Amino acid sequence: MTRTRTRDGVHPGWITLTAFLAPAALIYGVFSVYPLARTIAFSFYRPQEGGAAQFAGLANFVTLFADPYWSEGFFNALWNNLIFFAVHMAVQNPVGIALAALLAVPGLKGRSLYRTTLFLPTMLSVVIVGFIWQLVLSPLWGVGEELMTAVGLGSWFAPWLGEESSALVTLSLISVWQFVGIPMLLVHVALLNIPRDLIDAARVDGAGAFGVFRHVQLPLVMPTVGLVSILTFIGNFNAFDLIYAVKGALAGPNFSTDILGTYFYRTFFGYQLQSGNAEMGATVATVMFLIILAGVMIYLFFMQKRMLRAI
Amino acid sequence: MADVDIKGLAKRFGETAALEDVSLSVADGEFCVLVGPSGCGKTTLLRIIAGLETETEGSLSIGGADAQALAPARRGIAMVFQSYALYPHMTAYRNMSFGLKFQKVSRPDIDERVRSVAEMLGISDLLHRKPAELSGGQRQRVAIGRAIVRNPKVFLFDEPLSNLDAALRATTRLEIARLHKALGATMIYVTHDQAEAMTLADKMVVMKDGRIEQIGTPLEVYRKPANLFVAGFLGHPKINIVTGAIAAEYGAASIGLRPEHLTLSPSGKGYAARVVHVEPLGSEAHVHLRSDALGPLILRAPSDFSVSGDGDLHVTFERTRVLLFDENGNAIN
Amino acid sequence: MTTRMRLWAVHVMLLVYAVLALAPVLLIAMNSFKSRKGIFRDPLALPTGETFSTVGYERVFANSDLWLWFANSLVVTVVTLAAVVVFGTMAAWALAAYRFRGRLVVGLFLALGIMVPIRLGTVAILDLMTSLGLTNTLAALILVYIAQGLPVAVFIFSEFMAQVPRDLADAARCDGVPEFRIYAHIVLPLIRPAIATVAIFVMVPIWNDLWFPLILAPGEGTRTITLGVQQFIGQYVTDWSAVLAALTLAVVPILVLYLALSRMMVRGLTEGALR
Repeated sequence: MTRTRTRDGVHPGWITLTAFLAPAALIYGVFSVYPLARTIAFSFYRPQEGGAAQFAGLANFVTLFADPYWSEGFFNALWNNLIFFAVHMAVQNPVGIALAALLAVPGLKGRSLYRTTLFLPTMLSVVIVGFIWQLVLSPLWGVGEELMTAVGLGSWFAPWLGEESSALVTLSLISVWQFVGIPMLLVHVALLNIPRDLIDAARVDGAGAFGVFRHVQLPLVMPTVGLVSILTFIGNFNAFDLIYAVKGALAGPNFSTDILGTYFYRTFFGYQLQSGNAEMGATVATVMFLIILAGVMIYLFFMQKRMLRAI
Repeated sequence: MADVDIKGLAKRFGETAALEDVSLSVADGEFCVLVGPSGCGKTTLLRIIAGLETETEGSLSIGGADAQALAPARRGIAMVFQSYALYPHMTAYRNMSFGLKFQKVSRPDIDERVRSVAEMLGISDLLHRKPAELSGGQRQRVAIGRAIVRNPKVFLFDEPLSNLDAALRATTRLEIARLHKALGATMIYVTHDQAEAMTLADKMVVMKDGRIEQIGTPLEVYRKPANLFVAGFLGHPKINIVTGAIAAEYGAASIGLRPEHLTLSPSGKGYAARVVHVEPLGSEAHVHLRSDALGPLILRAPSDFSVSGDGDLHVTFERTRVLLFDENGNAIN
Repeated sequence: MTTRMRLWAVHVMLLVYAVLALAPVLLIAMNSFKSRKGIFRDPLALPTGETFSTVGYERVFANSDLWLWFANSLVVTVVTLAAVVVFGTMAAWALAAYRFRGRLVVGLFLALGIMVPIRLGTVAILDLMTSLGLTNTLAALILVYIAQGLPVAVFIFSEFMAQVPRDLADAARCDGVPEFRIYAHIVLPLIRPAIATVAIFVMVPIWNDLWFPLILAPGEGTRTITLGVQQFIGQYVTDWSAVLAALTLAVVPILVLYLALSRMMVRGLTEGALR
């Protein structure tokens, strides 16, 4: 088989090329890109009498942001989502980095056993995670209370999941518990990629273990931390499963655990008191898309800068 | 500056020994080269001196003080790594000043030291750049600068030239020799390249399989190798080893003939040999011969050498230049 | 020696977190083998002769379609993975090995999927499935999950393929080997760690996913194990033994898969995916 040399570059001919690319591009295009585009388009329409939808411009968005019937719930969900994200950034990433640093200590025995164990929660289904923690924290079953009493912190125990003031943070921490493995694993791999010579040179220069971490290892894994942060951002603003599994679609108590994902679900499918509204659902989805896109743009902008500086 | 004294050093991993029974003294200001094939333990020895690895047994003192319990930073050493090990996220300046911060040197002093060393090495206008923005040779100089700035008692070099191309290697070799003269520092240098070892060393330590084969000045070791391995390791082209009847004539199991000590005689004097291959190098020619009496030989001939007739020649050598080795491969005096 | 002290401190810290990571799961698994009384009276104790009971498991198997759910999850996960590996490697090879006009565009097109979560298009996906008549079918889930898994898979695969020496492919071309053969017989075997990595990144989220099974295929015949367990818990919420048994059973397959693939996965990550 001869290769076609064209002005385009060296490649094996358009037929072969299409054969290689088509299946992936088609399925992905039809079931991922097209629906997203349609959803965004959908958000610009309003349902009319008789069924056909009419183009309404930004009316749905205005409704979402201004009409108290929608906006209260929406901004509540948005605010909660930000808290959800903040807890993850404050706890998940530092703990993950710390664990990765611990795993990288030279001469550590049982490293892969630790790594496997620590990554385990990430493998579990959210339903399982949610339910397990519900049981542990349940005031009825008493395991959580018993354990805390054993450590001497018994008086601190409270039904955190059931109270409006603490439910969201508790759920955030449960999510952190589950997903710490990801920053841990990614930073761990990044640390492994640091050449041993650099650590040796730092030791010769006089840096102790902490100095090596602070001046050599941490700066060199920052790109990975950045990647983890944006992945956390995307994941958090897309989250749904845990809240739904533990609190149901209503994300109680009193919507205190409602985040954008659950708000979207309710808007689209409706719940006990209200029927679903596809157009508003699409609107919420579009807003979520824009928020995520904004975050990604900011991330790419910083990455660009860093990559340009390195060149 | 200081001397380094090593006695009975060994490094073992279970059954295998990376180093065994290594004893060595490096005088203050001496340039000592550890040379040998890969896996001979030279880098391990260097790293033990640096404190990056611990010995299984033996003693080590630097500047008269026992160094074994000290961390690398406290031993008064500085190391230039094969890969340079420059911190990629720091500028050349910061790379060089990094270690001084831990020594609690004041900021103005740090600045002065870094700049004067940079001046000495000709990298003053590169200080603000990061390693990725520097060429291989420039990076190497920053790595050397980082070591000098520390004012160490002993400099340790781990094959610093092996990542450079041949031309750069030759010029940098000169610069290192010049540096040694300028600083008068004790330097311990690891390489697998025997030409580097020969040209740089005051004292050469030939190693093989974790043991020291011979210590001496380059010329000593070249002219009087302690055994077959050392004889064969130094010198290019490789020394000719002859066994059998001819060796027995000298009372040895094998004899060594350096290619430069073989001569071609036009008339019938000497041993018959026929040319197998000629490698013209421009400045000279390396002639590969086969002799019934002596076996395969390599000989250094003038550059205008050419094969005449059917390639039959005669080879002679001076008896006084012959190196003698017993059945264990050790030199006979 | 401070190094030893440091290692001890590290071990302690890691152990504490390891316990934190494992304890909840072990607690559930342990208690799933107890009778209801045993669970309540002393949840932290191991099942003794008195409290040991498999009643929970019996009830789960009797009152639920656990095997059906499991089979559904298995079918969806395996078929999706196969498709993602086949189509993904093909696309990744085209992007990594050939230079053609529009290569950047196609690459970006696929990379978009990594950044933007597919769930946001659910409104239209449900609409699409309805018009294709695919609601409450496993096929709907499979198609959606393939679309979801392809971007990351293509990214990981192309990173690995970029490291396959060009000379290998060129030598084969000189021998007249057709392109597809080169891809299938030369390149694919060389990127096995990548396949393990992708397997985990694709299979685990699918197995654990609640959203799409809930929205696209909630019918009894097509329930996946995650959805099934979630509904089961909702239904039998007071039957602790059964609930705990169901949870434990849901965890086992993922655990097995994870333990089997984890070493290859780390190898995969260290060798290429995250340069």
